[in-house]
Amino acid sequence: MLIILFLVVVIFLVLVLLGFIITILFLHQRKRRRFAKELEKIKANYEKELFKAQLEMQEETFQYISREIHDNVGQFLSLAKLNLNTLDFEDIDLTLELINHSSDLLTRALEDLRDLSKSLSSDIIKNGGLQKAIELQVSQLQKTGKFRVIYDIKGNYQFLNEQNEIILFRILQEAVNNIIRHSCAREIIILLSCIENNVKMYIQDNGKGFDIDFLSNRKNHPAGGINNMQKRARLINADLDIKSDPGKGTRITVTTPL
Amino acid sequence: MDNHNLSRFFYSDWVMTAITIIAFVVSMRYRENNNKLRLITYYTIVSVAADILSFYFEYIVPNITISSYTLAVYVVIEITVFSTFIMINIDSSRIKKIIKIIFPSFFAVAACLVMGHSTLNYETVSLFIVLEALYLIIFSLFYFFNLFTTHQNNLKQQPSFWIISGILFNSGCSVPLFLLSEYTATNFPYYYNIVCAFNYILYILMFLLFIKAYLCKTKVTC
Repeated sequence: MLIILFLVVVIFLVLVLLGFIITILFLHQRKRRRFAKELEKIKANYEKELFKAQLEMQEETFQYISREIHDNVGQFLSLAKLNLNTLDFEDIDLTLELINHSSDLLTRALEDLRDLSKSLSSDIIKNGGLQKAIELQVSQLQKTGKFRVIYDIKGNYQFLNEQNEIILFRILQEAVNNIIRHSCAREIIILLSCIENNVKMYIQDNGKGFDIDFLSNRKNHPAGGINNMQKRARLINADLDIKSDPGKGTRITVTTPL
Repeated sequence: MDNHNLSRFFYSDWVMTAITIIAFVVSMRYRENNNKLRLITYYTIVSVAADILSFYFEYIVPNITISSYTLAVYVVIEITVFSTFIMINIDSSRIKKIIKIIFPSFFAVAACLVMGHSTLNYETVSLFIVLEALYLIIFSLFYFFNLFTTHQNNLKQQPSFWIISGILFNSGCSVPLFLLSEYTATNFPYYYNIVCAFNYILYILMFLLFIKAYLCKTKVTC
């Protein structure tokens, strides 16, 4: 009798233990499935956002090309055409001057087109990396003669993947464009640091600065350049920090993990 | 060795020793697979030694009984090993801190128990075991709380899950068993052996889960 009682209790204990383990495994499995579903949803949303951001960036790029062609290349070509249309072959001196002037204009148009092509192409990053691309950007800025540009690298720079370097470079271009167009700055500092498994890029100017809150709350003219930079930073999981105050310049910091 | 003695716990003590030895062999064989299981390997070594000692005193020199001090030392080793094991398998630093704070209080309460009974007899050791079980239940529940609040991969291949399930089950069943043991021994001595046998069964189940843990495929290093 005692042995039967013993066996019954033992079987009961084993069943309780099995029940406990199965319950925990079942609950955990259910939690994992829910987690996987949520992850999938987040992934789908992220991909949708990514696609939307890419479309927006493409649209921005087209607008940039259109503006550059219209404002610079178009102007030079129009002037050259005007010069050539007003050639008076009876006045040789004037004609020669107009032809020379037109030739200068065409050279400048060609240079602008070359710069535009270079700035849009990602070949330089593919071949020389982000460092080379920034160096080129710096030399272009210095060529304008309007800015004193300080460029430095801290730490041992390690290459990011190509896509991330391209996006970081586009953020830099956007920031530089904003400086050229809006800041009235005389000095630009570009710093690339590679410390503690992070790549940090600082772009600082001594221009007129702006009120970040005011700019981001503006409904009629939202801060497109800043939005672009933020979207791009999100694409590579980078942190974008903008510090600016009216009259105190602007500092943009992009931090991305290696 | 008479037959009455051999079967008085329905051979559960023999089975327990056999399973403990198997667990010891498995733990030695697979000890390189998972550094976190090193503590459990030490525990199986201590358990095998304790089983051999208890058999020696039970069947070879039955006139000498194991002192309650030896049992108390075993309880202290057991709670230290299991608490540390649970703690290293919890991700949350806050829960780890709570365990670190709670754990030393076991010794304070145990010391109070000894002082209250003015001696360390078997009744005190039973209370010791109940106290140990209560602490281990709390720590194991912390582990399961952490399990469901953090993301964990395949649970079936996590050794800590099997080991802590064993610890929780063993502790959960030990509490009523040891609370009743003294009462049973006094009022129903005939049934006392069955209570002991259940204790052995709990250890058998726990060691089976330890063996399962060692056979998990994951390779984790500290």
